Amino acid sequence: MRGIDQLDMTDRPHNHRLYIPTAPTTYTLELTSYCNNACIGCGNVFSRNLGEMLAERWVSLLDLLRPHLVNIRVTGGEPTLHRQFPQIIQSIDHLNVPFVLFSNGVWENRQGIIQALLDCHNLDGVLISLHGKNNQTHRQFAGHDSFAETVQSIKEATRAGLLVNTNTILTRANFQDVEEIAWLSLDLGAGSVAFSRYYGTPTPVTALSDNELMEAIESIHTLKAGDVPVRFNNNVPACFSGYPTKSCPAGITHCTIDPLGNVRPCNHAPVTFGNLFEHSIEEMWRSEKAHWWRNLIPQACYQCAEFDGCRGGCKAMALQLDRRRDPLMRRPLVQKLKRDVPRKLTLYEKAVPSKNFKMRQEDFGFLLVNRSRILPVALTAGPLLASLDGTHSLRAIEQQFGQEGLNFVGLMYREGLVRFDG
Amino acid sequence: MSHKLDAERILPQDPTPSRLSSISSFLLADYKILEPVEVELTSHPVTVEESQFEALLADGQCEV
Repeated sequence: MRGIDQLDMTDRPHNHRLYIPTAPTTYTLELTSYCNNACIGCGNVFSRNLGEMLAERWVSLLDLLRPHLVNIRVTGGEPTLHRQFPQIIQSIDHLNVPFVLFSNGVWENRQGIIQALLDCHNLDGVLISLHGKNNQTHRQFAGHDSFAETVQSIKEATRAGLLVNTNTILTRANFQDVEEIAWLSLDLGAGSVAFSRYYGTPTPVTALSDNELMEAIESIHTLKAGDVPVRFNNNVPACFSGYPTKSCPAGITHCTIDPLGNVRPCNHAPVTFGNLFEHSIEEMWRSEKAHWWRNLIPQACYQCAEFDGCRGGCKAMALQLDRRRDPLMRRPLVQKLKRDVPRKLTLYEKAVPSKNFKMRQEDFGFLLVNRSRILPVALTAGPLLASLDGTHSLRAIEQQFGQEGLNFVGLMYREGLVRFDG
Repeated sequence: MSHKLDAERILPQDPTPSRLSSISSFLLADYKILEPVEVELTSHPVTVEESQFEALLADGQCEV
């Protein structure tokens, strides 16, 4: 692990808290439980024979959620196997909400699927699972000789103009191949390459040792430092790796909806909050079950300087392993980790910022959301947010709200929540 | 499209802590993990690397 300061009994702990919105902002839809791969570490916690709802049922469900939908992810099983996939995708597209498709790229009707996706106006891109640099390593996780089909789908989808990113679950078969997988994906036309930690019960193929996982993480960071568009896709506790991680949104701003309409905090969590045809999402989000889930965040994590950037590791993993916490969790960090983002911006005084977010009012303030970028802000930010209407220049904002307001606009710009038109 | 921020251009120096601390009243504690930003205004049009910031955003779009 990298050298990082961790709390001991003499340190003054941080005291963080969670801000829970009335309903999630990101909705992962598991269209079907059917899959044409047989991944040994399948991320789904439901049975392969759960079945699927008809398109009309999905439309009714999405209607119930409509006021809350900010960001949608479509997954499965293998979502394209849903017998009404084109109709469902079209219905999702009509919601006018940005969405992403997660797929294994094993597409029997490849051209039909690509065309259905090209017809969408709100599809941000497709995340395709590629679990190795060749068929031998890919099949060790995927369970089938599907490498060639997946590669062909990536190639044809990108050629057709779709944004495709790839995702690789790190296993003992591929953890030393990070660089080769990255170049393969990029050569196929992928926009970026993601690697993910395996969440679930360890198997001989998926059980990476701490050192093996760290070797893969270091490889990813080396590539990133060389300007290669790679990233780590899910949560590895910052106290384990010494690197900033993906803050876990499960049960806070994210939920997963299974093929029958049951709501879970995330794909990997074997916990159901209820069914959307019986309870509203707001009701489920304030339920005892939801509180119980959030309370799985270890108390020690609230004292960690990286709490907001991590939120206690993977609770689903802890549950699946029948443990009290993520097995990678170490001791809370004393100081925040350094992030490679700009801290000073020089901007034109006549530039006019405007909103690049959807805004929700919550008990604690406002929630600003643009896809996965979510920023809870205080109620006192209200007048400043109102000024981001495309008519006030940065100089005018500075005159009205001072350097504090100007810096806040700069922060929102850096986080993708403000844009400059013209 | 480059995904690396142009540190030489955008980060000429670390801002002073006193100016940076003035951002915090708008932010809830939950997100003070964010590195603060100091904005300096100029009277000349500045080309900001919009696409690179968009790349930052795109990074978060396909996550699990």
